[in-house]
Amino acid sequence: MGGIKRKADEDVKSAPPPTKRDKKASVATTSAPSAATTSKDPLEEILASSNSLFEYLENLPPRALKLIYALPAPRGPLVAAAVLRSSSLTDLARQIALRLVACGGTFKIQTIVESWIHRHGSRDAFVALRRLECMGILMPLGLATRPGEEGTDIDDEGNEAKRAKLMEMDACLTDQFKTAMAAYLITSCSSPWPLITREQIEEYKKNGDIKKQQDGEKESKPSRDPPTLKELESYTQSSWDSVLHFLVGSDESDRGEGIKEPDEAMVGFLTQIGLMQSDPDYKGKDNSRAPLVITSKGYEFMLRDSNAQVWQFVLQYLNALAHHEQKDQIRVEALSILICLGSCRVGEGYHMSVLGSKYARVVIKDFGRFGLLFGCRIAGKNAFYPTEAVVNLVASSEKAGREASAIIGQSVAASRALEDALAAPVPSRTHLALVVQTNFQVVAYTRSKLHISTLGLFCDISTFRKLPNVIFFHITRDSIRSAFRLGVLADQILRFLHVHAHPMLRNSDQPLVPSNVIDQILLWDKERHRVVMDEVWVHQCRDDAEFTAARHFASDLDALAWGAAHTNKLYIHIHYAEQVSAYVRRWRTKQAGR
Amino acid sequence: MATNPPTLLLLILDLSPSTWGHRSIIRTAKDKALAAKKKSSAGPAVIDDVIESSLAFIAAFCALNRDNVVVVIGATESEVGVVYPRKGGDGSMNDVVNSRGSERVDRGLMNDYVRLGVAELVKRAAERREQTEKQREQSGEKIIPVEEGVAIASALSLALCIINRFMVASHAGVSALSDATTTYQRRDDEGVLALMGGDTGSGSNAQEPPQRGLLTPRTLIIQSSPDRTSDYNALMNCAFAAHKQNVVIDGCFIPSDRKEDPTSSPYLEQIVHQTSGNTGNGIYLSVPKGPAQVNGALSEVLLSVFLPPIHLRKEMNLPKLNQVDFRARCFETGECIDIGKVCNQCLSIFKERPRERCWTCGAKVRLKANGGSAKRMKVDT
Repeated sequence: MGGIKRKADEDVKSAPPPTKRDKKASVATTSAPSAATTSKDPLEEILASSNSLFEYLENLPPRALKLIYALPAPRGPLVAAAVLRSSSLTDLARQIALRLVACGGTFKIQTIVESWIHRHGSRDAFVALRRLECMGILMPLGLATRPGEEGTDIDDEGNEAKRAKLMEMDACLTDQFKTAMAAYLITSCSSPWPLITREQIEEYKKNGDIKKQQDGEKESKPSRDPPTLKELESYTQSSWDSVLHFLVGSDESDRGEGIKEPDEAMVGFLTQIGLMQSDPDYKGKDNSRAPLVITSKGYEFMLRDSNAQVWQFVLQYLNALAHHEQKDQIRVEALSILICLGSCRVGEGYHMSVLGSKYARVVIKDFGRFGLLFGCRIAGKNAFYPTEAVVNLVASSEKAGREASAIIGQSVAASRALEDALAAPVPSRTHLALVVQTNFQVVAYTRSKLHISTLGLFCDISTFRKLPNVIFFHITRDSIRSAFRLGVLADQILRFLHVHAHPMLRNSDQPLVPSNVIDQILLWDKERHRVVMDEVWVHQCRDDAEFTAARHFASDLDALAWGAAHTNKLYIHIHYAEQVSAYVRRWRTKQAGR
Repeated sequence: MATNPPTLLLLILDLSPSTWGHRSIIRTAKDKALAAKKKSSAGPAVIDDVIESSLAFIAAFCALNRDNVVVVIGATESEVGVVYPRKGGDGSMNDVVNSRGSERVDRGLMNDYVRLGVAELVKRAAERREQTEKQREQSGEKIIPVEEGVAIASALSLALCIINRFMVASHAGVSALSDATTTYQRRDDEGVLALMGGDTGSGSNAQEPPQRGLLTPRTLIIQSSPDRTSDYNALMNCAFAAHKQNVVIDGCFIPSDRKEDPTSSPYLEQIVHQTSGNTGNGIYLSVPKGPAQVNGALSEVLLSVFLPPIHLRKEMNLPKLNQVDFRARCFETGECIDIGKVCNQCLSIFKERPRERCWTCGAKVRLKANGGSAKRMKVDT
């Protein structure tokens, strides 16, 4: 049935290998000769499915985490603090860890569970200890479970002996974590690398030019002033927007000024992740020149919020590292850099020279391509400035944790920014505010083509009304069903509507999306599975005897879809039609011959 | 498992120069004696110990959650000021409120500002004290009364104002008086009655940590001077206001080693007890004398006792207030009294009848026609 084309999920591994396409790609992809072969390592598979940065860290074995804690100050301490405040640990775990750091030494687990914590909190205590062991903070106690294994519940009665043994053991902090955390508490430095100070820039301005003339150097790019906050923001927006526009396939004219196509490496990356694929409808001769179209995974990607989007890219980048020889080392570098970037402030920059190893430099360059960093030349040396994207990535993954946060508590600054943007008569390209009405009308305050395309995924495009600053859409059954056919889930649609709801809605106590709309979308989702279509072959039996005989035979073969006794009709799955008809012929001849 | 709510911590430090001056005298004397016996210091804490431990405590507090905010207030006998965030420049209050995504508290700046601010406050207080001493000598006698104790009441009221400002900011402009738990989405299985029945502090709504990333406020007062008796009224008013706003107050008292100095602050105990309500328990600790106060042990004490967030306190074993001294106190002298006089306008209690006017409300004291024997009303304790 070629009626409706399903853009099925592409298997990542069967995508055309990226090595052909991009010559200037990063170290990881060019030196991955076996990119097409699947990796059988279960650890890598689990890592590849992490939903957030700290979940990735949780899935790493503790020894890898200890390596990261052991990095020299102030990076190690910052990572230790970031892990401490992440949602991988429970609140009680944090308190226990900090007490152990402050008081030094080791304590019997019995002391911890019984004297520090009330009786009715003891279950939480064991959970906390287990999480601490998982994250490489406590020395191994035998409590930790690898992801995928079943963990024994310490509080069961059957485990009395185990519990008693556990109580006698000591809880002892791992050395790496202890030194890292102690350093964090004592030092007063909150930035992982030395900052570029104003004095340096001033000094360069005065002396640097003279030095350049003296050396007669081949300095190609001139140094410039540090980027302002606005510049950083627009850089993130434009580089991210260019990727999104490319995904959606908007034309040149639609994109507006300042948005260009993302570079080759990014395009290759998009294909590798499975967000885009070569157009299966392309009828041209050379298949490698087919234009790229978005897949259903790509649609799903579009509907998620920006932190999840950025994380997908970073995750795929880390997965691509899995084929490298030095993967552990690079992974440690990449993760530590990512977490340290999350502790930076937007607007403060660092010279590239502060990075130690060459892997670090490569990682920074790659992150720059994603739009996470802004690279420029300051005071004579290359420098990078973290943007909001990477800071928010780490921040949101600290908070979100395991569950996909449906309603994301917006920070004060973000909601204020949104309100300012909405107060302007002509809305900006970046902010989207939706109001969903009970009559299934969606009012969107935006002008950006990108948002229109995203909304057009599940809203009815043919009847939209467009005013200079507002667009009206309708949600109809057909539009939602076509979204489902593309592979979008009802949850994703609802989450998208929640995240982009207008801030004024948040002040009242009405739900952000009216409940009848929510219910109706969920019902339409359930409708898809209420009716299952099967292709069958209908056989009309001549009489009851034939009907019973044929029905037995067919049900033995598991071929029977439905049998109607009063009309003597049998509905057989199409694949078994041959066999059943042969059987019926034999049976009839047998009957005739009797 | 409750998620990790961001908390706003207000740290009120007692910086009165007279108290800390005495302590350092005691300490140097004791250290000399112990050093002669080749033992390490076991003396009372000096102001440096307290500042170091507070900074470590704040660092640990910031490690709990990226959105945790700290405001440090220094209190001396004559002045109260916000030490961190500092007015103007980097790291001011605006920066802290508006920081997007990155850590709210810049620890480098914080360390610097705290030390700088403490030094400034102490210097100013010492100068003012010298001036008043000089004036007293010149003008003769007790015309200008000596103020003992430290202005905790002023610091606490400043803290409550700052908390209110942060709550307004973190509600994104909505007034902080509106109840956080009922304005936003109600859960599906709650009926209308649950919505109607939620007022501040009562009902099960108050038990849950606030939703959506709003700040939970709490206060920690570190005191080592004796209480200032004339402030009792103001102090209790602040405590009631804090209770109403669901602000939990913790108290830490650092006694000296001398027997004649108080080992605990009754006012602080009462405040801590007052704010322990439905939402959480205040913790009061009088740091034990001796080695628990020196060599970094104070930071151990602070981190172990005062760090746990409010919703976690019922699960952990933390020092509880057993006996709070609730006896009535004279509003003028601060002593505990059994029998006293009550003003019939404002109901304040005095040991001796005020001659002209009530100290608290200023109402004129009327005498009966027969002169001396004024009304005597028993005050039941």
